[in-house]
Amino acid sequence: MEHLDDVRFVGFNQDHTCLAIGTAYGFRIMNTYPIINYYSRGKGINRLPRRFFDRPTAIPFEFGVPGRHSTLSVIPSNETCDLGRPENEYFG
Amino acid sequence: MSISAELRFSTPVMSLRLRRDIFSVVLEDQIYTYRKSDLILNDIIPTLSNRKGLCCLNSTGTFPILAYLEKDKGTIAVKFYQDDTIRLIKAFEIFVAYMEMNQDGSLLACASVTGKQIRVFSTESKELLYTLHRGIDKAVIHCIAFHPTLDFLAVTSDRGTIHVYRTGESEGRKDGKSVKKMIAKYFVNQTSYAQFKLKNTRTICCFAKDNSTVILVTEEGEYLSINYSEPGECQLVERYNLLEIN
Repeated sequence: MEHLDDVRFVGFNQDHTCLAIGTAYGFRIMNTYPIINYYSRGKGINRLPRRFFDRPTAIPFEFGVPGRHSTLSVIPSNETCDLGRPENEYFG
Repeated sequence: MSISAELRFSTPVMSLRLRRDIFSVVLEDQIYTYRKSDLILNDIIPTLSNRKGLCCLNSTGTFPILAYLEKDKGTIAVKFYQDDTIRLIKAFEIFVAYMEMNQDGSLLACASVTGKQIRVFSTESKELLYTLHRGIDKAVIHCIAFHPTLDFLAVTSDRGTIHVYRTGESEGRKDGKSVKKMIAKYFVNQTSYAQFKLKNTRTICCFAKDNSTVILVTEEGEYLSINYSEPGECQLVERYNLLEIN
């Protein structure tokens, strides 16, 4: 796959059950322990912020820094890896 | 995978914090909090200059608890959205370099720019519960992780040593409520229970739920699991390159 030098992000989700690694060419989401690959995506992502997804409703965000501006993209969870339903919502 | 919405900011996004109902976008000197269901802006909070994007948001519990850098250096503000109250914790006299909250937001661990100590506070009472000693040399703290039961805490730094501290928090819990005062008297100062030496690379860490394993991931994409069941030197169990796992 990618060269080691291309790693741009590593991070866990909130309960540390998943981890993500992002490179210049894509990212993958894995089960933390034992280590199992959940999801991979190829080219087209610049940078993954820390805690870019949560569980059980996994909603990844991605952002770039074109010039002085930042764009934050919201991706529906049902198109990624929806692992369940939220148990409670404060700001409903 | 399609994009359903985009939020644009005039300054770079430093970090993001998410929970089921809200998410917080951390800019260099402000935090924007949005409702996740309809992306309505819920809160704007001015902060100390925050190029590291330091911010914590509890992931469990009915109500959000947000910790961020107050404008006074060394002070962390904890906002309880349940009643819109803010508690100020004077963590250090110098700048805070790293902070992490446990999942329900009851505890806040932080390190200063010297990285010699980790201080753990109760977010509700603002009380200093533990002072954990990392070392006598200056260090940049890269990650602090709470064990799910709060019995242990792990710290990584640019010195290359991973420290595991035994805090015994769950021993003080009765009927789901923590009696932290009792623990604070007993564990007020301590050095690490177990250590693991790794090369000087940026490393993040977390605890596996088996009560004996810490997971380490380096910025080069290396994955390590180490066993800390015995005090002293941790044992390396697994080592993989994450980019090569199928």
